[in-house]
Amino acid sequence: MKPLLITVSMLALAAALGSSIACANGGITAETNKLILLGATVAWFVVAPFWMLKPRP
Amino acid sequence: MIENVSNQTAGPVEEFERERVPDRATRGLGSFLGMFAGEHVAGTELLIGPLFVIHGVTAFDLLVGLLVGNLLAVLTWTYVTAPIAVRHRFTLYFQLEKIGGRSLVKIYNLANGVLWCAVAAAMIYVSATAVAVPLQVKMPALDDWLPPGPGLAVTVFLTGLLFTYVAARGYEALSRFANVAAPWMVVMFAVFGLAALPELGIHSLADFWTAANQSIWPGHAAPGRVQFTFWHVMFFSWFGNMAWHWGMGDLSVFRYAKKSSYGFASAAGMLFGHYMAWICAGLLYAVQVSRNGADTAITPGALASGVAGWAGIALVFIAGWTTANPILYRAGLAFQSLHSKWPRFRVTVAAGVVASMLGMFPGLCSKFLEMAALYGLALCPMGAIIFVDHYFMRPFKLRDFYAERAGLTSWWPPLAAWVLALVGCVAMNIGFGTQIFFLGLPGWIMAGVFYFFMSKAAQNHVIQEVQP
Repeated sequence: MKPLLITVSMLALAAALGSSIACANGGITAETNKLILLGATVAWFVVAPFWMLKPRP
Repeated sequence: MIENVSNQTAGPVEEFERERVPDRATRGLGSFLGMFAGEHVAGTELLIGPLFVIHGVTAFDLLVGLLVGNLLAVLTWTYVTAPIAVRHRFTLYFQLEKIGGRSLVKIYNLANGVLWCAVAAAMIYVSATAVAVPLQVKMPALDDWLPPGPGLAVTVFLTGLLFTYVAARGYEALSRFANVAAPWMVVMFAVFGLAALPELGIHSLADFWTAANQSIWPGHAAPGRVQFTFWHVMFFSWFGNMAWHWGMGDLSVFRYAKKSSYGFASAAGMLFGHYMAWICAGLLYAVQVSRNGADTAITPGALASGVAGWAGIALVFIAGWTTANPILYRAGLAFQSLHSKWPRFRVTVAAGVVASMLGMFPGLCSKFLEMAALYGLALCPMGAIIFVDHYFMRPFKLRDFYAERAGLTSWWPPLAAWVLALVGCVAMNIGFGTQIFFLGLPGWIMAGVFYFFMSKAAQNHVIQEVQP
């Protein structure tokens, strides 16, 4: 399960970076980029805590 | 930047506050890389990047000055701070207590607490500018010292109260959240830079250099601002975290390092947190000015929202909060240490209320570069005292950790050296017009020299009294 969660988190960050690069190259509009960034942000904060946080002692 | 409160957020379960960190508790390089990368990406980066633009840096001065200054900071952590930390494995406070007695630590904590309130105020302001975007609160102009209306004052104060309450309850939960947010924040700062490029007409590397010189960092200081040069940028980026490397604040962090070479881990924070984030924040500001030349205000929330929408607003709010929180918590602890019967919750709330009120004044944040330099300058002499005590006492037949060895709660040479060094810096500033950005190193050297000669005189005097 953990590798899957890590993969999804990394994909979220990659999507944020990728869409911004695409935006910089004129491939997508700034508004589309903002939507993708919001989606990536939500995905990161929903998924990352499950693999980044260790159970409290 | 001075957001670095790494000794708090990275703290393991066992703190070893009054003992040497045992070998079993030391940590690998990865812990330090992650910690520095995460904790040097803070809300205040969004103030610093635009402030460089306002101070009229040129593209070359910024890009090269930042690179050199940040590399010097990494070398300072590696060759000044980390070796002493690994040798003794004590916190800064315990080491100061051994050198100057408990009263010295109390005075240091008082100074630290006051400065932390000012830094937290800037972070609260940064987060409040994110809240202000959807609420459409009127924002201040660049040189406004007072809030432009009750909307901003109330927004900042309520944001500060929220941060204060969480900090007073203990920072652990938010610290865990900060750890999760750190990688996302690093990526988001890069995203800011990328998203800003098309609006600046940059589609290739050649475009970048042209735009960098003409529209991003054109090299004209705003009226009333000091004209920055390469040296300003270099020294600011070197001394921005002076309290933590030259000032030895990160003894508390590197005492957990297996080797002193782990000081190089600070490069992760300097390259991602400072070099990249300050450049990207400058790009954001350039976008704002390119849209409306009259809009020179530094409002991080609006800057981020302009290129990254809601994700940008979230970044500004979270970056400010995750760094303000441990600072407020530590400010509370610092003030509480003055009187052990004061309840930490109430002291933290008092510190937070003060920080929230300071944050209501946008003029304080528009002078953040000066404030950061003052923070480093005020605390760095303690690092010189620790450095001299470590390297020069025994070779010159003087006693290190004198207060502990003599059983004193107060030993005057460290305190006198600290005060005299600061007086010397004020004299340089008033008498020679030396700007605050350049006073850190002279202050550090003066403190070390004063401490050495005063220790020599005082220790010889005491020994002669004991053995007439």
